[in-house]
Amino acid sequence: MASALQLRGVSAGYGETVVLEDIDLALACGECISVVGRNGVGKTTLLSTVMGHTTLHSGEVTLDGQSLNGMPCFRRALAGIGFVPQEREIFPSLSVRENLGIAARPGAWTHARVFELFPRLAERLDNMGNQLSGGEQQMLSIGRALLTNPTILLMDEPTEGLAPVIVEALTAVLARLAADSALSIILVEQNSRVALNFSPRTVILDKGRIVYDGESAPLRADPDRLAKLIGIVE
Amino acid sequence: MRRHRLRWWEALPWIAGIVFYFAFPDYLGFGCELLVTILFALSLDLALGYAGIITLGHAAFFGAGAYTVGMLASYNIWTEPITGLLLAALVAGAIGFLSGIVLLRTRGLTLLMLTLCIMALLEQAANMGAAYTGGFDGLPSLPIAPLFGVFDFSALYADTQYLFALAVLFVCFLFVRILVYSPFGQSLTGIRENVSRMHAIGSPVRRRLIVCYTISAALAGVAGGLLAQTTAYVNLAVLGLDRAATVLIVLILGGYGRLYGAFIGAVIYLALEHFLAQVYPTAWQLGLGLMLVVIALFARNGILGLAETLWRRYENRRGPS
Repeated sequence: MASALQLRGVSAGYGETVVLEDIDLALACGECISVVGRNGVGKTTLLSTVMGHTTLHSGEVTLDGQSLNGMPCFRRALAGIGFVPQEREIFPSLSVRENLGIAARPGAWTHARVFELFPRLAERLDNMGNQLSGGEQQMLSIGRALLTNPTILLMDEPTEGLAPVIVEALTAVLARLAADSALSIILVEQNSRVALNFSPRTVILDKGRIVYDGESAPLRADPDRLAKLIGIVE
Repeated sequence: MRRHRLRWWEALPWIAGIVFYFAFPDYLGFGCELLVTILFALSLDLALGYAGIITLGHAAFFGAGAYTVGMLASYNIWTEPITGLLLAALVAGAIGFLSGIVLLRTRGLTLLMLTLCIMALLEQAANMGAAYTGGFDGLPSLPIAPLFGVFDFSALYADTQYLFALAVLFVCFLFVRILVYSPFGQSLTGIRENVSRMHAIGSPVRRRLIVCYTISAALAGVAGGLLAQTTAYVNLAVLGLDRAATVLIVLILGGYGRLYGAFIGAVIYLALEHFLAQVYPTAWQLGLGLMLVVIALFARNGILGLAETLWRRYENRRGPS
């Protein structure tokens, strides 16, 4: 299968500080992968590097064979990378309708399709961004990213800080997104249960390096191995 | 309810504007000054309040518009008022566009200083070109052609000037209102609130800021041109820091990023200035200063922001009962 997104020998960080070291990662068209790891191992930095928010020290990031090195963030978004940030970053002074509207670009993902995925958003259309619950903000953040009609969706800990019942609902949505063959997804997630169930392939990061890149099933079946790889136990 | 829908109270400023015309025929000159200040503050609101472009040099565009109308009229090149304002908008907009390309690469204090520099450069250029601009003395007794060839801009009665200024403000306000509620205007709000998020959803941030700055400059140019037409006079004061600071104070006083903050701020500032200057001719600025301190301490979002907060509290209290 052709690689949609590829990182080759990528070392990146913030200014002089190197967070990611020698990362090799390829994401095929329509493929979904989960990235897990402890706090501070570079999961968010990995997504930020794809978006162009970090300093790239070496290596190359390509999208459909085209180098993204040096490309400004908004051009990467226009090239087809959608990003759901950890902090959700809803525009508080804009309504739900406006938050969605300013991101929308023509394509398969329409407002109607987003509302089908998140019926709650359709009920809250005229509420301001700062009047939404955490779960609703997360739905809006995902909906807004989908309306940019990306080919690759980067999601940074979408279940963080949400009530269990909302996490369950969101997990069902993630499964529906994963079934969409036109969309490749990188899901960064602290909740390893959600991550391992989301995709057949999992990447584990530790100290800025990939320590596992393979099937999720063996990790689901062997929690001790998972704990060792993540670095929770020696 | 969708925010861009017209609400009943939005008619009030325009009704007040017409009532003022009939109720205070001796104060129409003051009324013109008020309408020009509202329009100028509205132009600043677009850049500062909606797009978050910090500027202390907006008088550069106001002055460019005023001198465009003033010089064209003074040398009898163009005296028709409506097209004169369009030319003022064109010149100010062009300066806004060209300076914006350079300025909007920067942010924060650098941007603030550069906006000041552009204004100082234009002021100095107007001073040095005294042969054409009148220098310190300015260009007096500008001949402005009758509106539609019928209504004279009389030096004694400001009837035509006032109604013309009210009509120009109305048209410009409608334009700004449509703009801020359009997807473009919403993207400006997004840029002000979270520029990195706007980048991440593929918004060409810098291009949009330049467009906004250009439109804002053009509107400031219309305000400047309107001042030149209604007073038949233009001098270096239109390009000065005083004017730039005053319009900023007006906007902060009324509440920025709220459309009507320009109206409230201008009315209160000019009315208070007028009143205090009569009561304390030598120390009227002290009263204004004290009021600004109170606003800065207790109403950081201006008078409209304070009103919104109080209204929300009232509604919250009323809600459960």
